[in-house]
Amino acid sequence: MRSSIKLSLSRSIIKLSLLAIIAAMFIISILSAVLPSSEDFHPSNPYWNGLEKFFKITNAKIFNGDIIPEKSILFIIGPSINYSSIDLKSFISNGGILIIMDEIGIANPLISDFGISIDGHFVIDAVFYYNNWKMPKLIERAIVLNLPSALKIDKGIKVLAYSSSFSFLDLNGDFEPQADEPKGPFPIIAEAPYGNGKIIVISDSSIFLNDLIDFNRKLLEDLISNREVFVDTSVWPLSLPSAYKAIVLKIYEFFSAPELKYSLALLIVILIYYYTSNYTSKEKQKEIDEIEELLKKHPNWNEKLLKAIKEARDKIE
Amino acid sequence: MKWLLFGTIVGIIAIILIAQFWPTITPIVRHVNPKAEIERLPLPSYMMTLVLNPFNSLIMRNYTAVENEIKILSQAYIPDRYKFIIDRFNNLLSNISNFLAETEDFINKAEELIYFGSYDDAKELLMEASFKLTLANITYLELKAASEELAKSFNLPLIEIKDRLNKIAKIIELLYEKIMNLLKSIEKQKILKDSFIIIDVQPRKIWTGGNIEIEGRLYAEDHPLSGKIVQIYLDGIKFTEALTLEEGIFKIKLNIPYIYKPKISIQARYIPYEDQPYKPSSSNIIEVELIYIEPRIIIDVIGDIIPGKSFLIKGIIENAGPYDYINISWAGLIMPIALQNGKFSSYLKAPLAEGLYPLKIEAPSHEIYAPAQKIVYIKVNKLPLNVKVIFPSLVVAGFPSNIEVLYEGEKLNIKAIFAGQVYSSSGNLSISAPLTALSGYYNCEVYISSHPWYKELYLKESILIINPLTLFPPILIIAFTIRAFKNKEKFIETIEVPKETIKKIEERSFISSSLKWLIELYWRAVSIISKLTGIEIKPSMTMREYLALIKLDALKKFFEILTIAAEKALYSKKISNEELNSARKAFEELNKA
Repeated sequence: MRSSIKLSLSRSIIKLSLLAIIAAMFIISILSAVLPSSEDFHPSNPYWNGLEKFFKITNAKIFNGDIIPEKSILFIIGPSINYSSIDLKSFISNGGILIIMDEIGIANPLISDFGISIDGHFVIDAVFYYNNWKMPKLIERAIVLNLPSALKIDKGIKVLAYSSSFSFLDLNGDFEPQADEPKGPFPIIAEAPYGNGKIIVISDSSIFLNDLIDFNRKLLEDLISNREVFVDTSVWPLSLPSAYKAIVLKIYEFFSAPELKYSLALLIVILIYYYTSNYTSKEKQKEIDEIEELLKKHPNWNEKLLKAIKEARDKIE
Repeated sequence: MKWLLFGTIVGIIAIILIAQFWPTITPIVRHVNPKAEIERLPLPSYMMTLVLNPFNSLIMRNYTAVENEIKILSQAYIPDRYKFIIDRFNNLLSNISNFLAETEDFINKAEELIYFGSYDDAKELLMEASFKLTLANITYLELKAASEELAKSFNLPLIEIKDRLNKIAKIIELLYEKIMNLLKSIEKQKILKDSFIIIDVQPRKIWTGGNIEIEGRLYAEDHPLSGKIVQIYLDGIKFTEALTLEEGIFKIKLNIPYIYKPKISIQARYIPYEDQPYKPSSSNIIEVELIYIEPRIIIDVIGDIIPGKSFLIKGIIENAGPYDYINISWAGLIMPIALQNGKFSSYLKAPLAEGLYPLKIEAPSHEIYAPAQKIVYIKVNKLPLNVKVIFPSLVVAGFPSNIEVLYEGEKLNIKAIFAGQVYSSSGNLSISAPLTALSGYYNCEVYISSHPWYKELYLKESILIINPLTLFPPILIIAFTIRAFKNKEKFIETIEVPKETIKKIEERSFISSSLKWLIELYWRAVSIISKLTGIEIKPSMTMREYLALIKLDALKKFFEILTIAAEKALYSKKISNEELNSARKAFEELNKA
């Protein structure tokens, strides 16, 4: 008796836990889809380090390989992992504009063929800056940077913007100028033509973040002109919440297809019908059980008559 | 249990949310939060350089550079609380620079006037210079105070700033001395004798490059000045000198250079040496008319100018000189073009980009032939692509559809993106939707380009994809549902019992008429019992269940006999007369109660 009670209790706990997990996952899925991300460069991140404003201003699309080079400008912003699978050189030579924004030097294997490379050390400016030396200002073009690096360029490469002569390359990472640290001006934005297109390298991935884009909007408009903007998001590592959000959104997108949407609606209607009809049949079962119980007590009673009486009673009820 | 369920849900959500908003650990530092960073003042040593730069330019009397240096200084990061200090400093520095520049300008002009003997005008300018210098001196005093405040706010070493300030004070002093010296020299020259000079030029109208003869006389109030050097100015520029002979007369033949302007002015000036007791003097101005031939360029651009293609220009130079070429400047290149009988023609290549480009044609000067120049702006326009694109309104997944591109002649390069696939062709495009694509509207982008002289065409259209494969499951569900419903209806139909049968059952279920009295007795007994006990029989209760509820020991016995008898009458039909009698008696007993 005790063991059967224990078994039924543990069954109901498992059922409840499963129900709780499903309910929680459902709520989390909705929340994760609705709540904004706080990750670096995330297109839906509305905080200081997101690219929400950038995506809104430029009407940018996430790059998935479908691109017409002559009409497009592709941004690779702050790459941390492998570049996109497409042949970027052929994209540029076919008339595309590629913008590489990196201060670490991860993009160097890609851009070195064009005669440009990123130093990797931060450029600090102790005179021309915004609020803190870590955010140098390019006074000629009124561009505000955020922990930029310097570009190393080959002869013939066109430099579009330099840092000030008061800037210095922070070799030891203390954000303070030292006597042995190289002094500016350093190239910050450079352009190299290739085929029918060009590559523009900016040694700062942060200039179009939500908190800085208003300062640098003119530069952005100059860069994109009338082209369609694509951003390669595959170069950013995905955190677990972001990956989950992406999956949720993908599922949502998948179920937005007409056939799935309407099938799902139909399925829900069927399920509701099934469960309600099942409930009614259970009720009927219960009634049958009542007669069975009675017959157990009185085996010599007539079952058909009992059923008839039951029916008659139901009619009265 | 409900609380357990609620708690578990809340717990799981909390854990996941915490994980969601936990700061992401990023090993790569790419930026800092602009709002979270502590405000920093500019580095004093660098700021010092920036502050000293305009001072240094001012000391070197490079007043234009001062303005530029101030502009640079104002672009340095200045916290709002210090903005007024730096603005005041910049304004004062700019003012003092302007005052000193104006002072020097007045002094220079005054010197020139003194040179030519206009002492009164020079004196007036020197007074202006003196006024500006006074303003500069007042501003200097303010600048001194502002510099101290600036040094204090930005932790700048004051010694170097003071050193620069002292040098500025020295400049003010020097300029003051210069003004005083010039005023003294004016006073000194006022005691000198006036000198006069008059000239005449013959002929008054010549071909450019021709000769003229200038004759003049230099004299003082009471005597001619002979053996003096007179300077001849041509259009305000010193051209040559002449020596006065007896009676102060001078005569000189001049060969006029090839000047291509209608008139030139001739003037003679006498600037005495310091030891000569005469004031400087200038002669009357004589205008000489120049004759020359002005060629006229007429140019004709043939046809449409389209990018990357050559176009023809034809032209003629009326009144052309004896030269055999002209220069054409086009697209950043200067090239000589041969001239035949004053006519020229050339093929030029249009740049690849659309726009308005200047075409400059220059004919050189040659003796009496003046140079000629003509600039025309040529519009380079791409031709519109005469292409008609017909998109399919519907694409069935797995089956190819055509994007029809109707065009004539030109070779086209067509690219399209549809349903995640890129297509390229030089004519009609065959597109298809993959079987993995779900049904719905998909954007189809088409980009058409041709030769560089044609405009590119970019089109976007929504095309409906119908995927039979993905439509199949929902259709299947619908079919099954319809079938299931139909089956259920059939089942309901099959189990429907005819009314006659029900009647029969009903009839069969009731007791024979000979025992009806017993059932009536039972129900009357039930009524008595319920009144006595307050327990009413419910429709769901069996006779036995109701009996079990009755606790009245005295009457229960009789009610039990009656109940058993009624049960048997109802369900068993096998009831003895004894039982019927007992039942009747039992009711009587109950009725008495």
